[in-house]
Amino acid sequence: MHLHTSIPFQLHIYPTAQILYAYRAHGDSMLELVRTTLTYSDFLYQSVKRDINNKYRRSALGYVWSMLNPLLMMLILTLVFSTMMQRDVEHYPVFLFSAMLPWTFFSTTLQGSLRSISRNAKIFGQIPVPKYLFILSLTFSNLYSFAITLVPFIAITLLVGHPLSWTLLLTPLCLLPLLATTIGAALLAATLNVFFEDIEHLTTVLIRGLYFLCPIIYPASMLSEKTRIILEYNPLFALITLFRDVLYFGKLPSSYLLGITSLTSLVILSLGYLIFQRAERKMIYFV
Amino acid sequence: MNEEVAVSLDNVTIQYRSYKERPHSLKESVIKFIKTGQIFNHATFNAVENLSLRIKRGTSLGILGSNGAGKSTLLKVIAGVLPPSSGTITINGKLDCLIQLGAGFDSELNAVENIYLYSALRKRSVKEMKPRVRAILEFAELTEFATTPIKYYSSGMSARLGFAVAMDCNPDIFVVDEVLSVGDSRFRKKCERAFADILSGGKTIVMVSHDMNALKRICSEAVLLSAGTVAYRGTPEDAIKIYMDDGYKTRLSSLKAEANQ
Repeated sequence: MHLHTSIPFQLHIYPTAQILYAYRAHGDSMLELVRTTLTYSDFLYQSVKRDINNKYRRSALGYVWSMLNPLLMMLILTLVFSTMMQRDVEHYPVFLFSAMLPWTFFSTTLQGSLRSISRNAKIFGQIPVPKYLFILSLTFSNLYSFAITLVPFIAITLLVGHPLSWTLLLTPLCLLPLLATTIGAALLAATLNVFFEDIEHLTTVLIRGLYFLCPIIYPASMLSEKTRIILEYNPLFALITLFRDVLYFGKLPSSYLLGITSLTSLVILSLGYLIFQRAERKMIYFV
Repeated sequence: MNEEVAVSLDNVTIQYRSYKERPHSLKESVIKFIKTGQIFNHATFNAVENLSLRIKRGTSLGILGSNGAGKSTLLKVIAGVLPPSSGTITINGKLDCLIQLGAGFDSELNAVENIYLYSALRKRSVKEMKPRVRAILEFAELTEFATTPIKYYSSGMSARLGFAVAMDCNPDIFVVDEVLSVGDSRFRKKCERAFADILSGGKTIVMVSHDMNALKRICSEAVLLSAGTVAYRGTPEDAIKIYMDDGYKTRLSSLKAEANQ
């Protein structure tokens, strides 16, 4: 029975109620990892609830802000780009919004993850808890924001008269590779930022660059064949396309797209976790 | 392992890297690599050095020592949050610690929400905590402020809450760092009574304090730390006498010489 399992050190409970701190060099198995996370489900729930309350309930306009923010952004971008894109894109606000949804989720989580470990140093300086919990909690609060933002998305779709397709219901499926990619990237960024303070600046620049390297404000078809092939190496390219297919074009994503996003997201998640996991023990010395 | 031993440390060393020498950014690392061809060579120092300590069940051990002797580092090792550079630690029972009162509290949340959050970090569910909240608030004397966000609390109030929550965990081994210095004298007495209850229940306390009178009252044994090693172990009275002695430094070196023989 594992009552006190945490990632940095395993506490085995022996029949004699002896707990042995064995500092393990290698990681836990996937199953153990899931089990550990589940034992902290209450913490995750509490912490996500707190984040959401802080974000929405404690501000004067509450949820209206969460709708207003993307709507204003949408309005500005539409004003600037819709005439430019007129020939290539129909209903530009919906086109834009369908890509902004996954992008905002990814970029806010990645940005927020940078300081998530040092911010919680006081907690794990006293209680041995796996440090990835703070990144998970951040991811889930942003996931909540994603879900909330679907409301203004649907409103805009209806408002501009864009057909609302049943494929909208496939969003949860598309979220799986997005979640894996985001968590993997966040783990990697958070880990590196503990050891190298300038990773934060680097990531900010990277996020800004990625925004333009993904087909968010423009359709992929506008790119020249050569550029597109290069840009497709960016793992977010396929993810954005996936969401746009489902939310804007109203079509089933191709099996190629599903395959490539699943594969890259799993690679990114594993890589992020492996690096995080190797560094986790040392973090307490650096934060 | 002996059932009577609650905490056992064997040849534990904690090595810190020199803050000054380690590169703090990618830029600095690259520069260092270009200059020296190495990144990972830092000056190190041992906060705790080759320390072995056995704490029997039912004892209350006080840890004494001047600043930088390694007291807090030692507590963090016992608490399981600081992995030792070498050596092993064995903990026999459920451990909880109060190293920083109120660590894990969120200032935006009220007392009840904080109790849930804090307990969830210790894998105690909301369901489990619900019936206990009232008693915790009563112990902390905060019942009437239960719905006030703790950012409006005085430092004494949040310290009381932290203490009450930790006491509610009912651990077998209680690790305490300098927490008796908070709260008014009445609450301090209450805490000491709670400690006495813990001890009479056959549980173990490991505490760091600069309050010599409290150490004398609570502890049955004391350890004097110096430069990360145990310089003296004995009754609290004797340890305090050595520690307070003017010739502390000279006495220490002679004690070390004795130990080495």
